[in-house]
Amino acid sequence: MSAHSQILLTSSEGTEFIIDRDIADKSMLLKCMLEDIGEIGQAVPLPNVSGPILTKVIEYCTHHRDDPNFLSANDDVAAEIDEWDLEYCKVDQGTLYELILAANYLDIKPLMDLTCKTVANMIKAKSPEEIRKTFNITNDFTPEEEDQVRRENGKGSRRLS
Amino acid sequence: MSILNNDKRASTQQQEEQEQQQQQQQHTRIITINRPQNQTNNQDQGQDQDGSCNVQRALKMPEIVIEICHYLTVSELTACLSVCKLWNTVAQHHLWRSVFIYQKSEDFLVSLLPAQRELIRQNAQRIKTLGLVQHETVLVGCEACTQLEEVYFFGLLDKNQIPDRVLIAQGEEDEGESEVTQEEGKVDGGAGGETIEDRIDEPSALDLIAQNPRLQKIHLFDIEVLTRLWTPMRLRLLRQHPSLRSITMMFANYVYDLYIIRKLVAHCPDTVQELKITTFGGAILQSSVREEIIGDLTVNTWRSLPQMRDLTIEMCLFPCEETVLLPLLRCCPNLTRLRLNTMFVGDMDALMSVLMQESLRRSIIQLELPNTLSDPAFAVQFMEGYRGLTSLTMRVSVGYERVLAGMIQHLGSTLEYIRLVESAMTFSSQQYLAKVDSILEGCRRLKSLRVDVWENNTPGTGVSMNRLLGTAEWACKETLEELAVRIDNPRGDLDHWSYERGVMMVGKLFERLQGLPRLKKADFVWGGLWKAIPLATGLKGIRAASLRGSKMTMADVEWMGLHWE
Repeated sequence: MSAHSQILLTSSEGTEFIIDRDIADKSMLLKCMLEDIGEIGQAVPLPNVSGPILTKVIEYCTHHRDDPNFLSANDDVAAEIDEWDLEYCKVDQGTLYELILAANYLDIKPLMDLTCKTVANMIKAKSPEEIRKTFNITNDFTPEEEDQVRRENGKGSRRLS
Repeated sequence: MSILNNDKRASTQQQEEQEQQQQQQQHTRIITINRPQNQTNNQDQGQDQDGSCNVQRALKMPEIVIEICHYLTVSELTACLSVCKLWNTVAQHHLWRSVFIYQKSEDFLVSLLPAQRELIRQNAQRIKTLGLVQHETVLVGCEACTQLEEVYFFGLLDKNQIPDRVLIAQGEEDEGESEVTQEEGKVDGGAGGETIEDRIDEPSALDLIAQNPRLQKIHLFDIEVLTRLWTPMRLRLLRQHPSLRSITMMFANYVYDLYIIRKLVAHCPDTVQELKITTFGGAILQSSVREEIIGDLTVNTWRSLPQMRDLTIEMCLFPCEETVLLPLLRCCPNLTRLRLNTMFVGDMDALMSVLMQESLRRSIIQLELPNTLSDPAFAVQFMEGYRGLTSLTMRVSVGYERVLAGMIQHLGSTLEYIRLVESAMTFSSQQYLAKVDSILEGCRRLKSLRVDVWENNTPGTGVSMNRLLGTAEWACKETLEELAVRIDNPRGDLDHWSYERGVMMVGKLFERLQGLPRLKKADFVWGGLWKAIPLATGLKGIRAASLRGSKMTMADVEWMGLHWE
């Protein structure tokens, strides 16, 4: 069975990871690459992903290894996050964003959905100022522009008038 | 074989290395090449500069912000508008994805103001979902929309029926009473300041449908009179639509419902696989008008719909077998899912003979017949005909035990999803509940069992619970993922004996649940005894129910040997 074949990955700082092929296949990037060039036995460099983050990503893929709905499970926007995933996302913001970036780079859609949903939950019930503070975003509006945005969206409901 | 199958997160590099060593023997392992470690461990110190740097990077990438906004509601998106320029652009985009134009006052909304039209035009390409009320002339301004995937029409009226009193200009901010409750982006159209313009080429909902080749779903609520605007040419265009997949129609109190249902069914494109019709049979008030309207349409207007997979027909008050139900069922030989909810069936034999058609029996695998299966003899015969069903919803009523036995005998080897419902109108669920355990014992592929019943007899909850449990082995032990039992007891009183007994039974029930490897959700509401029975959180993946409103105390929970969070 091909499940026994293994893939070597190198994180940004040079840490090497050996993972099973079916785990690697959870990443569309790796899956496509391995299908295209075959398993050449050399390490696949992942310069955008650090060791600890890659460990987390592999943890996720391993947990969902036998999940038959892996690619379709998160289509439902309102679906609740399951307990394991919820626990998995209890990390600090820095790690969470690293995970988003890694999921985006490695193209692991369910992980992308999960992490983005987690960020979205952090936005809920916050004012624009609180959002900026939470995520350390710089306000790049000029006072006039900000005023205009506020006027256009008065009362929280969009009006065509 | 997993490399990191334990939930614990490695919080330091050392721990990771330890883990690696532990994993050496395993099938998959991690090898560390020692390099100078100049990287701090993010997992411990994410909030510092390192973390915020990632924040900056991630939240500056449009594709990631877009993905995040995907999960936000309208009010949250509105807050995002003023965060920064990138978020503004993305949030704008998302807010415009769905636009609902609704009336603000009692007056009819007949047209949009010029400025409103202009805004719609400017953003037309962003709009994926559009909702319109009252009158098709509102469509002026919406013709620029060509990317729509979903449309809602609420109560489109014929212009000729709109009374003269309409259209007094209204203040924009005041007394806006929205009729539409969708939580999506809303656009208030003030009752416009214009009078109804006479147009030779009045726009029609059908035009909007025709010009949106990606349209997947249309929803029509209380559409009233459209005959004049739905010309043969427009209907032909509807018939040729390339992608329409689903049509939903709902009528509350209109005499033209059957007419419109027939018109749409007759002209629905070949791509439509899902049809939902709900009507409360308003025509009962004016059946003579109804007869007149549908008179000549009762013959020869039905065409075969071999592509139809999913059909929902809900009809209350008025038996519609001959006018809609039976002809439609005859037209759809390849359904896989049928939901049929009719309060009154005039001619059961006729319905039965259509439902027992060979083609339907072969193709349907999901069936919901909450009211239609109320006659036990019919129900058992029915199940015998429908061997192979995977999903069944039915109502428990008189003769239920017999129905249940028939179900297990004929469908026990295929059913994966069972839902039993009962209305407050019937009596004494106790006896019905008595055999719920036989479902668990007899259906070996069952994934989900939901029981919603009302219990009028107290004391009985403890007894019901006892019966629910049973003692024999559950055949669905390996497959059961969801078990939900909801017993509402309007009287809410219970004697001490029943309560004590109930508590004991809960403990036993949990013991049984512990042995189910795939169980993901267990949901119990025992009205009167507990508003919510606390669940054993020791069961993996099962959330705890609240103790609120329950008579159960912590001591009870502990006594049952349950873990409580």
